[in-house]
This record gives sequence, structure tokens and C-alpha cells, in this order.
Amino acid sequence: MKKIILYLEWGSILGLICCGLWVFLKLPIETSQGFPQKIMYLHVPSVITTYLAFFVVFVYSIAYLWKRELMFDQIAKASAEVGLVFCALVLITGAIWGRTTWGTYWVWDARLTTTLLLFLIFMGYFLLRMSVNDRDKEARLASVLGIIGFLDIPIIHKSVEWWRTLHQPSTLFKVDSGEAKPSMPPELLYPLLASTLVMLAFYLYLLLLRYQTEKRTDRLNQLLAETQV
Amino acid sequence: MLIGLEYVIAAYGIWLITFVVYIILTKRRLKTTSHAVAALEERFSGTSAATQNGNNI
Repeated sequence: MKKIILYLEWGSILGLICCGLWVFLKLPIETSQGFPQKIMYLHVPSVITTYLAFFVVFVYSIAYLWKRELMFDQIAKASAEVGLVFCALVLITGAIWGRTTWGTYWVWDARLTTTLLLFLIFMGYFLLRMSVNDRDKEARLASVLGIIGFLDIPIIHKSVEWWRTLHQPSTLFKVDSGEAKPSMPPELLYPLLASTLVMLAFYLYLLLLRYQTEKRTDRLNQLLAETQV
Repeated sequence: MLIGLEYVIAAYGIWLITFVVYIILTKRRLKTTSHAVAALEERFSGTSAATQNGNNI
């Protein structure tokens, strides 16, 4: 496990540096948005990683409620924390990008508001965990909230179609006459896909690192409980 | 001068600093808990060995 974490750490960091060099040195400046369009290569992969992180929370929360294995809850908790960091960065990078394209950092737009709601739900997830002392009860309640929290993601994704918003529609692919087609030219799409893959590897590294911490924290609490007995 | 350069620097800078701090804190936490677990396990094994020796005597 230690070796996998080490490979993922250096592989993803190297990948992120390479993607950065590609975006800043090789790619032409986009004509309509200009230089700030480069934020897209950070914002969109962070969004996809946030979705994946909370999907992992959803899956492992269901698995915990079903099997009652502590390991599943540890993975869900680790993924929720990493997802929360990514979600915060999605809101921040989105606000900065919005300032350059819309002229404002924030609008109470459907996409932005539902993303903020997701962030607040998972803040609540950790507050809930901190307020319960019993480990099993904590895991049970957090699993329920993790499942409910994930249900916000399809709403976020569809918000640009369901409501009139300032936010642009789907960045990667658009559905045209029942067929999903790339919504940008290949010279912009390929670095975006590469950045997304590298960021997913980076997420996996953070997840494993955080899971190790979580496993040891539970072991420590167990040992401390034994010493008190 | 590139228009909007400061926004790009701000976005990439915040992203980078956040993860550098997050990784440092997580690694430090992992190290501290690992040391604590190892120390407690050692103490436990020492205590159980001493108890066993006492029983044998």
C-alpha cells in the first residue's frame, strides 16, 4: 500500500506539472475569453473530481449500512474530506473565473447555489461526525447524510438545463440529436481530458493517504479505550 | 501584458497552496497517529508479557 501511495503521489504531481506546462506554454490563448480561459483546466477537472469523491461517499455509505464494516465508513469519511476540499476549490476557482467572464464573483444562479448547497451539506456531514461520540452511531448517521448529500449532484449537473442560468452548459460534451459530441475543438479538449485524468489520480492518492490516517485514528481510539478499561 | 493574468495566478495559486497545506497536515497527522499507535501497542505487549511472567512465577 505504501508503494502504491508513493507512485500515485509522484505520478500525479509530475502529471500536474506536465499539464500545467502544456496549458501555459503550448496552448494558444482562446479568442473569446482570453487568458483567463486557462482557469478552465483547473476548474472543470476539480468539478469532475468532486463528483467522483462524493460518488465514492455514496457507494461506501450504502456499503456500510448494508454490511456494517468499519472499513467502508473509513473510506467514505476519507473521500468526503477530500471531496470537500475539491468542492471548496471549485467554488473559489469558479468565482474567480466568473469575475473575468461575467463581471462578478458570485450570483445566486442555480448551478452556483446548488454547488454551495453541496459544500454546506458535507460541512454538516463533518459537524455531525464531530457531535456524536459513539463510533457506530456516528458512522450510521453520517452514511445516511452522505447518501442524501450525493443526491444534490444530479441536480447540480442538470441545473443548467432545468433553470435559466448564467453558467454555461456542459463543458466537455453536448448532446446533439441524441449523440454526445465534444463541445470544443480537439486542441482545447485533449489537455482538458489529460488534466482531468491526472487530477483523478491525484484524488486517488489523497484518498489513500487520508484512509491510512483514518484507519490509524480508529486503531488509536480503540487502544485508548482499552487502556481506560 | 496579458489581460486577466492576476485572476489566473490567483486561481492556480490558491489551488496549489491549499493542496500543499492539506498534504503537509495529513502527512503530519498520519505520522503522529502512527507513532501513538506503535507506542501504545508496545506498551500493551510489554504489559501482557509482564503479566504472563508474573503468572509463571
